[in-house]
Amino acid sequence: MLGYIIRRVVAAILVVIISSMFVFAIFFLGPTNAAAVICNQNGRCTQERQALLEHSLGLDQNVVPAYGEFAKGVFVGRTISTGPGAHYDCSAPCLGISYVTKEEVTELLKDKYPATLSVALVGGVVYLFLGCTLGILAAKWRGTTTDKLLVGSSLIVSSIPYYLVALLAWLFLVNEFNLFPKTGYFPITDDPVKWASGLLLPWLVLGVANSPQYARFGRGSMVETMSEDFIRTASAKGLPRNKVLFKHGLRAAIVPIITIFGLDLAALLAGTVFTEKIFDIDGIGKWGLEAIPVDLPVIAATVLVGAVLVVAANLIVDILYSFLDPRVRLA
Amino acid sequence: MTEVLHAREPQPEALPTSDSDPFLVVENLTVQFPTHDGLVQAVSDLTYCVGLGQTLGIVGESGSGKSVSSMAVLGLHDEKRTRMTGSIRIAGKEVVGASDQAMRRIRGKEAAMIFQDPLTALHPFYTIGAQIVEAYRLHNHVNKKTAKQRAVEMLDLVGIPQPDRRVDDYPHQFSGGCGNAR
Repeated sequence: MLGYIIRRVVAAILVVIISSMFVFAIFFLGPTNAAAVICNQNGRCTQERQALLEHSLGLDQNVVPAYGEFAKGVFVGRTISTGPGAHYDCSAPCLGISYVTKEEVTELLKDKYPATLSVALVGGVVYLFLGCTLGILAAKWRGTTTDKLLVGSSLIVSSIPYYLVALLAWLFLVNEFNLFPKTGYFPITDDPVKWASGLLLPWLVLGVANSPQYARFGRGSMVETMSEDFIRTASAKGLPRNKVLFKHGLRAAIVPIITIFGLDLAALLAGTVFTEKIFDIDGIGKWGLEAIPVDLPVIAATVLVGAVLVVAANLIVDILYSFLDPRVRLA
Repeated sequence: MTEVLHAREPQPEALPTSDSDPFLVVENLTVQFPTHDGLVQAVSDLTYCVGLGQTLGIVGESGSGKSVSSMAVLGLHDEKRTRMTGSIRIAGKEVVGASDQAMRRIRGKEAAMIFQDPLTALHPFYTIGAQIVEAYRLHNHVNKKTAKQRAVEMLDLVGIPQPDRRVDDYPHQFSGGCGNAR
């Protein structure tokens, strides 16, 4: 078990390093010249000014030493020049300095991450419970009108693009009819009520829009489990029907659902771009989106966070699996 | 068709037990499954009876209805997908058309079934002990500790070595033949 975990962690670190290289290279070598964009922002851009900016941002370097600088900053910190003659001491873990706001990316990340965490965790739990409940009920009443209604409506909801649902929800429920409080992120430590009311609609929209997938999957998993021989054994022992369904059926059907949920949650934690953008929540999804295409350090940081989360979620799900299913042994 | 409906009419919970009646009586049992391709006749007009202390072996080629007729005795067929006619009486109680509530008291107490292939017939995520204890406590008002004691005794009775340790094993940790001892 321990050996397995160590091997997996080493592999995970390699994956994160390689993906950070790719991200860095894609944006560093990409067609957008960050220096030109920043230089043009205040209108008076000259060749000399642009060249100076390029040099101070390190964009005139070769990609390999530039990445080396970036990697060094992550582990031991580094000194970054923010302009001609201006230097900034960025301590480890240093993900660079925003080209646009000149702030430390690590600090910004710490600042913005709680918003994403709030949206993703509660939103994820909402759709897990909503979806699973509907799926289990549909499986329980398989073949009945209720089942067909649940499956049919989940198909309709899931065929509408998510950004449209979110946009319409904001437009009508907040902007037009004021049915929900104004959305946004307020730290839970400041005012828990404000925190919850600001995120209420995003949670609901995220939950409702993603639940059909879980309802269908949960129903399928449950129906499959209920046809297993051990379910017949449970009935043959004299167990009440609900106990057969919820103790024996659900226990087996929940395992694949948890697996998928782990990976989905990681994707959410990496930044809920549409949700944050539409509901005006200052999380890393919106931050990363708005950094494109200029703010290379910010883009690299958000993608790196995403890579770390997805890789970690995979590892956690695999380890969790061995606890959920005693037949699975990690070796 | 009228006959089918008549036979599925709910029966009184306890029919008068005549002492001469054997413990298990199966009379003119017919089991049919309606499918998209028509009615499948799984068991037709089966009659047998078994007294207390007697053993009856039912032998037949696969698909001849051994399992279907035996599962009918415990009322394990999905009532919505099965048509049953005839009569099955366990200790005088009618099984055909009985409520799930009434059947639950019979299942695992007066009539029980040991299914083939223990690896699929036992829940993979619960220990052998937990599964025996669950069945035992459904029909006997005892605490968990006593029930577990009984489970160990039962494992010992069927010749499982080190029953007090094996009771906490999962089905997949038993060898094929051993697992049959449920």
